[in-house]
Amino acid sequence: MHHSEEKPGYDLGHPASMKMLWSIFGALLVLTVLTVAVAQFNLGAIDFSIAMIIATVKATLVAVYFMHLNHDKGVNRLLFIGAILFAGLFLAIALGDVSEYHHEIEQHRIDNPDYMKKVG
Amino acid sequence: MSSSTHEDRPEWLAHFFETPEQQFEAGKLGMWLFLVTEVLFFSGLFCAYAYYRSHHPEMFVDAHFFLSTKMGAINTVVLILSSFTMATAVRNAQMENRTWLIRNLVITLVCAFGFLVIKAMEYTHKFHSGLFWGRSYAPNEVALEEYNTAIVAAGREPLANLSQLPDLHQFFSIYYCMTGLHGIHVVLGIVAIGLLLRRAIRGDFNRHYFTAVDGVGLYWHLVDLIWIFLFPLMYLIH
Repeated sequence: MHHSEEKPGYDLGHPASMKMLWSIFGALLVLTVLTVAVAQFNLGAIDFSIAMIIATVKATLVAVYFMHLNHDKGVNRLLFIGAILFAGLFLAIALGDVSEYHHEIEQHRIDNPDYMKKVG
Repeated sequence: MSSSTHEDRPEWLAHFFETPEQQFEAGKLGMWLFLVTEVLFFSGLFCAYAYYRSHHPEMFVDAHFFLSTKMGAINTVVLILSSFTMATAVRNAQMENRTWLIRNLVITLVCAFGFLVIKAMEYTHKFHSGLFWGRSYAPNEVALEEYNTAIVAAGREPLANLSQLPDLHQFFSIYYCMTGLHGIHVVLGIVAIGLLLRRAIRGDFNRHYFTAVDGVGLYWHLVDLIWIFLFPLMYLIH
């Protein structure tokens, strides 16, 4: 709806189209069915990657269309994308550290078979 | 100073804003800043998950025999539906369609309660089997039977007694922390949507003023977004 008589700074509602909202809803349902279906097969190591790729596509649809980042201001986009990137950096550094010390922990576990019981 | 006179100033426009657009954008910026802290807040738990899964991949595979993919998938669909009705609620607030705004908010609320009911059923079942967090972790015969049924279906030999059951206390600590924190967010979402519903019934919103609907919407979508990742990480492990 357009209000040409509107005063400046008053025209701020830009309703999303129902067709678009229904399409995103449908896509999210299809992707949910897909990720459950894929999980029924044992595809080995790529299992996890497929599930995460599908989850990321779903999350992107929610962020871009339901949270209307596609029509939002650059600063809001920057904030959200920045948060995701920093969370990714946090995970990457932590996991890098894990792989760095993994062999030492494994060795400790072999040398001390009762280790888990004591900790538990 | 503002040039607008007192009589042409709507009551819902705070005195320190020049225009409704400025008020809306300021509110939305605040909401996004809050969501940034939420993402970083949850990332600590995702980090714990990644850390323990990389150390004990076998523990996560074993634990998935105790989680129902069906329940998780139903809850995923329930949350996606509630996200959809929340998005249409924002649209109806902008279009000044009060009837459908109220209907959308009611459906969103019903879905949120539905999500919690299903989650409570899952938790109750786990408590019944003794599958608690940390030191309280004490699986009983119910857990053994459930585990055996699952591994026999997967073509493995059943375990003879409880002592052979793998120690999964770390997994369940992470499971309860992540789904519990998410559940608290759903409860807070119910409070927020409830207050929104009251204001919608009162007729507070119009095409120049729907900041609260938009803000609660953004929060609710983030709760959905986090669940989108929790679902495969908890329920679809191989």
